[in-house]
Amino acid sequence: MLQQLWTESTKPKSLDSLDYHSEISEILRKLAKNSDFPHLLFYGPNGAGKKTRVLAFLKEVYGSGVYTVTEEEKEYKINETSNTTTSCTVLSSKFHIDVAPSDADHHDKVIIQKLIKEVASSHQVNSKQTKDFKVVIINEVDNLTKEAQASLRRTMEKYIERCRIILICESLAKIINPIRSRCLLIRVPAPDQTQVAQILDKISAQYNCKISQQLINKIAIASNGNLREAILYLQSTRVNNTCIKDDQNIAAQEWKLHIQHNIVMPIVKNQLVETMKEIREKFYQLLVNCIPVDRIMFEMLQGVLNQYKDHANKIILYELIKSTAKCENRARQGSKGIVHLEALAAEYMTIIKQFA
Amino acid sequence: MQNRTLNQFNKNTSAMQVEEPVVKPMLPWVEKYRPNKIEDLAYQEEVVQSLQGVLKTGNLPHLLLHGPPGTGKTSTIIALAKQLFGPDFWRQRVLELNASDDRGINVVRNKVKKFAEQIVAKNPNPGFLCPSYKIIILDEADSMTNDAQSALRRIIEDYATTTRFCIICNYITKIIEPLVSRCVKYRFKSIPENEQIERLKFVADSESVTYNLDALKQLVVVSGGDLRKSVNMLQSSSTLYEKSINKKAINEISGFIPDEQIEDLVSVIQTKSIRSVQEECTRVIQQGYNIEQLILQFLDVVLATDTIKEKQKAKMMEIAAYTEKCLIEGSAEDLQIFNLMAQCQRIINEN
Repeated sequence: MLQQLWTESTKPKSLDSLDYHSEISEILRKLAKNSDFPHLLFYGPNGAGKKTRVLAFLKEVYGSGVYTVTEEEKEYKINETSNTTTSCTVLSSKFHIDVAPSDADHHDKVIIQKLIKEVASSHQVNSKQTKDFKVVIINEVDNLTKEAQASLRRTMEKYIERCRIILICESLAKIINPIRSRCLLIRVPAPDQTQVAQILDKISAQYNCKISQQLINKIAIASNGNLREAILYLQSTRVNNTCIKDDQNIAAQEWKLHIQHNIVMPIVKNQLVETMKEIREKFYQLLVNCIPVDRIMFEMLQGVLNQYKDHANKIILYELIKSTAKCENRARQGSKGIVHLEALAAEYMTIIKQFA
Repeated sequence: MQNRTLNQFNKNTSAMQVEEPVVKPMLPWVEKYRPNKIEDLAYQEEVVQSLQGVLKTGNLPHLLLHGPPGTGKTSTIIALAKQLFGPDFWRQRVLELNASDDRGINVVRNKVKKFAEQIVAKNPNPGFLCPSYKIIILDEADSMTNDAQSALRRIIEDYATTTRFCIICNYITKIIEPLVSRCVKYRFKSIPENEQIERLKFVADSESVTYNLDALKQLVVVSGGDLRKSVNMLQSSSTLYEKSINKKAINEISGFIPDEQIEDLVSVIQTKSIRSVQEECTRVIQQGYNIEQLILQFLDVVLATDTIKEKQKAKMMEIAAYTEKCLIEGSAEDLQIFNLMAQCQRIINEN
């Protein structure tokens, strides 16, 4: 049998089979029953189940047809005069289309303007059986440029009769206010540890992997409320060892250990130029493995805080946190992650020399 | 507005094909209750007064309407156009361009110029003043490029006899100076609480929604003076909670963070343990709250806490401002919030 990702194969497909946040399911059910709903904006942390809920909701509205999707690549001219085009992948069913315009980088505005207007201005065929309107799902709205978001404003009002827009994003802070005021906001919080553990239990029973409660709890804690990550850990732990031991390390967590052993420890032990040289390589190893700079910094901070948590002078902790936040912000504005990681390491060394 | 007429055309043809009465789809209440006369406009007395003069004489200068969102800028100009040209005729005399239309320099040079050039007859619509000019509304003009704005300069002057421009924006600073100096400026004030409540009461009554005063007050608080936002929220909460709204329902859908959560944060920064600060921050992040909103509400509670000294509050506000800037630039939320809370704790424990 073809090996499938468990995150996909165990994904709930209807509102009834969702495992947690029953109050959100209740709201969605009410909205679906009304046969008419406003634009929706789902927000919440990664892996909390936003997209799953959106699709389950659409199933409630339109029936299971929403899961038969076709994929196509659409190309749009950036403007009438030039020949440059920009493209984005569109998943579409009879009832909805699913796009992530942020793929097109700074041309995302073109996609919003052209694609959504195109969908919105075409009628639903055979409107007796289905609803009068189509649904456009826009993923990762927080990565859209401000211009693209601005061009969404009026489109949302103008075409509301024939087109409802469902926006999905992680952080509401990056969405411009006019868009927020036009949507019904739905917050999807991350599941808590016991909820994650229950779901893992269910999946491991389904795939018949013998796993102890202890390890399940360990995974649930390590996943930090990210259910997708938790299921992936479970699967990768299973793949690594056919018979699962209780005390084994969670496979996908290795980079975190790498940071603790090879970066944090040298910094804490000796604050020398040679150490910098040594950890530069380790930083490169992490970056090559596509680990985001802000996550590396966050792990480093966790590590050093742990080292000095019982230190008499509390100021060192505050200073460490402050410098991490500063470097992270700079890394976001800049483009070369390695520079900022090294700057952070140097900052740590200075602080440790000064206060410890 | 051309698009809108086109839409209606489409709707009519489709209705003929289906041969069935098309059920009128839900219109957003903000569109449904847009004032049709400028007298109905909430709160902006000075603007209304001077525009009523325009209605009498038909002498309309170029307008620049600016002010915070949801204060009635677009409503004003549309109501004015309706009263000036008559409800059936105004669409032909008005071109509305907003950020959803492409408004680069080419559009200004071709579309706007072509529309501006046309000469229209005086008074073809009896019963209305209908002066011999057209109106071009440039909505959300702060998102126009500077090039496009400069291209407008000359057009505004050249075609002043046949076309009047109305520029609408949130931030007047984003409009280039030469354009500003060619227009009469009107500033729209934020609508005060009681005016908003009156308006909301009117909408709720016409839609037969049951409400209590607390709920409406909360609506005004969470919308922060944006009438469109509060009407929108009224609509979505009434669809969700079957035509009866209360304070809790409003909090639920507006993304307002529960007071208990904020109080937890404030009490945790008054302890000495960094670990508990970190745990609380992780919890907030996992709940997925809107962090901007969190900072605002956090500051509100901090300001109201008597045990924190004035000087400490001042320092905390500075850090909060810095954090907000970082978040807007896209920094990692968990890290920045942790930093904010930790630094606040440090300030409290310092003295």
